[in-house]
Amino acid sequence: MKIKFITFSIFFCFMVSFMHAQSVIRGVIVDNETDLPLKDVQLSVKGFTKIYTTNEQGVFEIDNLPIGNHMLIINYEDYLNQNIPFAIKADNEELDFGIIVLERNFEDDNDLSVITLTEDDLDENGSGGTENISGLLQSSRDAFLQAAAFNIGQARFRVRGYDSNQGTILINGISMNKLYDGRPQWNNWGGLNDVFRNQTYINGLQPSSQIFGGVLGVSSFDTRASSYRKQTKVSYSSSNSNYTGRVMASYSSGLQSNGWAYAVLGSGRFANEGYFEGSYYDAWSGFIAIEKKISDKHSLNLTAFIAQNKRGKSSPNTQEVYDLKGYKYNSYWGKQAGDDRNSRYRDINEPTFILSHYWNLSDKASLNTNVAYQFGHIANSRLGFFNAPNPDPTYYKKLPSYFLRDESNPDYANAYLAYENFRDYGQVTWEDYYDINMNRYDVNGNRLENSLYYQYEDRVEDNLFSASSILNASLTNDIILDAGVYYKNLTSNNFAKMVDLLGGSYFIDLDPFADPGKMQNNLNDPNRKVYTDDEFLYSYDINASTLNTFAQLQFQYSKIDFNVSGSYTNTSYQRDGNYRNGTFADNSFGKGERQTFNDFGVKAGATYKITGRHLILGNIGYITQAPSIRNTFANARVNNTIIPNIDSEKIATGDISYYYRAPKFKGRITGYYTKYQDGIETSFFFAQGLRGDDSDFVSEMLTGVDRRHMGMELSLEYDVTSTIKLKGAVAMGEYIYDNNPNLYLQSSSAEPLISYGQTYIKDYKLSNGPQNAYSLGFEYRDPDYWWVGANANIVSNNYLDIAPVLRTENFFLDSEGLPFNDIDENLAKELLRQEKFDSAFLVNLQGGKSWKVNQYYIGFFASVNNVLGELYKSGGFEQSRNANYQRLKEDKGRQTPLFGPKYWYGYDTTYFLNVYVRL
Amino acid sequence: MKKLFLLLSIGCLLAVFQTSCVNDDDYSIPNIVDPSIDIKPNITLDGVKQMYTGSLIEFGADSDLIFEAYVVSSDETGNIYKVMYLQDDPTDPTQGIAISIDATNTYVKYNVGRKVYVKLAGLYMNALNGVLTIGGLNGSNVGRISEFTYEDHLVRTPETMMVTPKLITSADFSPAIHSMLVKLEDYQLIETQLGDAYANYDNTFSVNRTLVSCSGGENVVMRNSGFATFKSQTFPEGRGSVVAVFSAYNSTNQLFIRSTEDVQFEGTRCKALFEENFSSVTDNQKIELPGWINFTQAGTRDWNGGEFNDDKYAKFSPFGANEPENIGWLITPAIDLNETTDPLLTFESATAYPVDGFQPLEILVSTDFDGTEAGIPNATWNVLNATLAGPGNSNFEVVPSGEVSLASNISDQVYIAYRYTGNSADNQSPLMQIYNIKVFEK
Repeated sequence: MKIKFITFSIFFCFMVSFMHAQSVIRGVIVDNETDLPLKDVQLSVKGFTKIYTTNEQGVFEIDNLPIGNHMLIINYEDYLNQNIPFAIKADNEELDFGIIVLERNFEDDNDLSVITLTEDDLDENGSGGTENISGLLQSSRDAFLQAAAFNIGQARFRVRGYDSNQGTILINGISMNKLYDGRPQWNNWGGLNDVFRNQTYINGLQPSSQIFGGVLGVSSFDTRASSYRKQTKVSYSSSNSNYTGRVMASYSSGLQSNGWAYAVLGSGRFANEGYFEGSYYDAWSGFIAIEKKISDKHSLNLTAFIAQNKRGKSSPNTQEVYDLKGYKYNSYWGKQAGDDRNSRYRDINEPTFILSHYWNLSDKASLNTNVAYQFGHIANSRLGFFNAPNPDPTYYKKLPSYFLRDESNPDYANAYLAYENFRDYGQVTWEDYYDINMNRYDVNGNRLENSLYYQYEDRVEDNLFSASSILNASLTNDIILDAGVYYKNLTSNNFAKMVDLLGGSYFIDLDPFADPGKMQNNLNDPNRKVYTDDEFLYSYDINASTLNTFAQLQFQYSKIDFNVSGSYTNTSYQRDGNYRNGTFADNSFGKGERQTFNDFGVKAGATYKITGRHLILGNIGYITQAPSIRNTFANARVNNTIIPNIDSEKIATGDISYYYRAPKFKGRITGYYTKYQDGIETSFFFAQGLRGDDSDFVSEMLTGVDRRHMGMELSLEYDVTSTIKLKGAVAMGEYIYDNNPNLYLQSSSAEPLISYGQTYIKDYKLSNGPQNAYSLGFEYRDPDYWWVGANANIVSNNYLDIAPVLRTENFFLDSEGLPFNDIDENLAKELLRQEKFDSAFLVNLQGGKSWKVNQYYIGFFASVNNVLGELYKSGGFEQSRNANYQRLKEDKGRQTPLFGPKYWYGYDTTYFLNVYVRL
Repeated sequence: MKKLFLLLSIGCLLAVFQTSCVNDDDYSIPNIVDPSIDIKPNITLDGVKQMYTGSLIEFGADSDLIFEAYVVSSDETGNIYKVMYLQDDPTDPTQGIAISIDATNTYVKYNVGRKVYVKLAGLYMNALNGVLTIGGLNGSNVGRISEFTYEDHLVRTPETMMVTPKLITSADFSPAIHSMLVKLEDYQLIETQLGDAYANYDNTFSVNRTLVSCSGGENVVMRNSGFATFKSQTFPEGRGSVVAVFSAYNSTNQLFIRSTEDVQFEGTRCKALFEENFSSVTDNQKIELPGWINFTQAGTRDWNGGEFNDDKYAKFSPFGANEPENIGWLITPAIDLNETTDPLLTFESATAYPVDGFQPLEILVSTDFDGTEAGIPNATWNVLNATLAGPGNSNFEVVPSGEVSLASNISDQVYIAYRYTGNSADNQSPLMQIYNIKVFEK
């Protein structure tokens, strides 16, 4: 060190002699833990605007300093700031600070807890919490991606409109995307924030060293026990969104001299009632990682974590319901013996074990091999009913609009009674259902013990075995080879489980919605009595496996970097039905046809460095993607039928960006274009009012779907001073359907699979969040270890999800199959026009402060989202009920439609406060 | 210090695991509140029905009248829709009443045999299509009680009793038994509807099914809904008992079953030895049926066919002919009774414009008639004792003949004659109608 110092000072003496007679300060900045020099650390002197940065060796030098007392301000992202006072007493003075140590500060990292994971799926039967992409992006340094994660994620903004299944999540080299729908299940590692902070995000098609990835990029978590510094931390949080309180405590040993490292964490998150009425939250999580550095070459790490999460869900509602009951209304709960009981909870617990081996083959190559096992369950509950009045408090026949449906003869008396009834209670009448189940008699006065109302779960129990092996090697100084193999084998058990008979003694396993004579759910065991915790209704297994290999070369030269990657994937699914369904007696029991897909992907990218400040980056890719399990089966609950015309989806994509990088200002502008072809979209919902007053679970499939996503992104970051930073982000996109795909419906209680022909949805907008977003924010970091930030955002061009059934030829045919003879083309266009939501203006505030007390660090972080309390629609879908021109015309002509769209509204003002103590 | 800190953190973690401060399971079975607990009936169903004067009755919003009754109908199969039938006693009913309600699947709470208290405040009563009904107001007549309020009017009690259907015969058919649960024995589906389902496979129209008696009772109509879950099941083709709610559509009686369990037709069908329902006659035309003799002995009026509202019959009406004698014979073809031991004759008759003390119709039987018009005066004709429509009946009121025994007239060629003897010049000329002649083994 000293030698370096002397060398430098001699060198500088020569330099200085050619300059003005002004003083100079210099020093070296290193990391507290690793002693490694830190590059790009920002330094300035209080009162002077110029910002200096350290070089590769961590060295900085500031000159032209006048005589006087000064303060050196040192700023580096993720590190605690330092302010060092000094004095220049004479001209030409040289002051050497020597080594300055900076300590890492984790608290300034925005917390995923702040982001409200969208608890309400746009698919009412979905697994919840999987559509959000904020968690993917949170570790990115790019101003645009940070805005996407933190500022506008609450409004369901999605980068380039891509589905969350287009981004790969890795934990220690194991892909966590579910085979069921390709999406990551964030709840699997919920509540483990403090040990999931080592996250790197590769955006878009850029090369990841671990995996080929999808068009949205790769987010990789590293939870090796040795990656954590030695630390003990306890934190308490308070909030008013999904949960109201959180407690988290963790301890990590860091890599010890004996080669062992371990880390543990435990947390709990809870709310008796979250943001929406009746939405409780009950979660606890645990984590342990143990690593042994066997030698300089080998290291073995075991990570195991468990996240138990049970929460009460909330309902999307029509505007009529929101107007009657407010924006926090939830139709799923009701009072029972003084408690609020939610009929629809989601209960997830899927513990995961990952064993990883790290092998430094040489100082130029490493091999990482991982095996993982995950099991557990995802359960979604709901109320079932058999030949009894529909328990949904918002069933269309119970609302005032139903009684006003005939404009020439409105039933005001009943409309008012309905209004009063809904207003005064309007929730699930649990006590009534107990009363009914416990007091039933047959026509001869004999007591009947079977339940007509019951609560059951749709349950998925997966056993997933994964393995991966990843090789990274520097072939030469400029060429890096990455290659890997990924394998997954899944056995997924899917069934309904009886949870509560609500006072009855058993339930007879029959389908209430099937035709008489076909009501058996399992012909192999007809009229079975179902008791609490029994499996019933449907039961099937999916056996799936995927094998993926990829290889990638990265070339890094002074003027240009480029990379090329290729991947191959083999995917296989097979359904094995355990029940012989009464409606589908020939096609439900036993193994179905095995589906196999072979897919490949190629991508290439190049970065041309015009100068150190100007860069151009471009990527192109062509990827084929097998359908997910969800998009393979027409209605896996009841039959083995495969979705017609099944094929892999093809993705052609490209983007080009221009980067500008200067010490004070960073900017990026990107244009992108992605075309999807031959995709499949499925939707599974409970359709009410089929064939008169019937109801049924219906599976809707679109095949051969083409989509186009294109647009631009702008990312700006400007350091006004060393303490004030401005960030801006703009996204303007257009995501549309690009053809007229085929539509099929498969009812759960009636044969056969019906083709509706083409659905004319070309040029309709995709319903995947706001397609335009504008964000402007600032951040002030005070040398006294506190900071505040604020951002203002506008999101717009968010569209209602259209019902494809309304855009088929059937729409223009009456019940006899003959075309209506009074079709007004202009009116039809108007009826089918896609609703565009109003723009939303959202303001968010954040801030935090930390103190050091003896050897403890104490601090807090607070954020307030949607400070102005703006009420805005964040998502929604058209109902399919008015399936033809005449009915839609009639319904839309009413003052309050009977089957208007159902919406989700964004949260109004929510806060999050986290207080921690760290040692 | 560090250790303390560590202990604190572990401690707080344990605290979190122990106390799940969120209530998300273990819901206790609620105490069901009995809504009927303070309610005392203060009038009988009979008393309520006696308040009816022939037009709409309004009980008034301040009325405190409450009567007790038992549910006898069920909408579980959808055959009975938006109406509930009650009677005053589960085993020995004297009165029934229909309640009109705008709700479906009421059977889940208002099961058959459930005792209810009916609070009449705010309700109305009137005859709807001939059946006395209590309900809300629709325009100026009784309508359906709103689904949001009917449970307040029909208060459910914790009691359910076994309901015994009242055993009746067609002689009991009258508005007095409307809305009660009744049982008819020894009936079967009419021959012409054999093979039909309860309703129609391919539409949702309501359908009439005719039941005929094997014991001389009147035919009766069962009405089935095209929305019933059992509508496509084949109607039982045997013979036996039927339990149903007895109702009507104006003057036509109708039975409503709750489910297919109400129809117990286990026996083999009874076959009529001889049957004539006059379905092939033409209104106001002289009857020309194969094998029958239609002989006008005196006067210019004949036995003609008649038709009214899908019902067909034979009629004789000399009114306006102004003749001193009008005699008409309508004689059946030969009936072979040799194999029988206790043959019975049944038919129905009706009259219009009767004359006090005058019965123009006679039912005659002969075993030695030769089957020709010329042979009529030579045969031995015995009078049969049958109940006939006469001056004591209302116009067109259908009167069953009762079981007329033919036991003393067994032979292989038995003829039954319907002879009308009147005097149209002297106003002794009431209209007589004959329906549904049947001869069968008891």
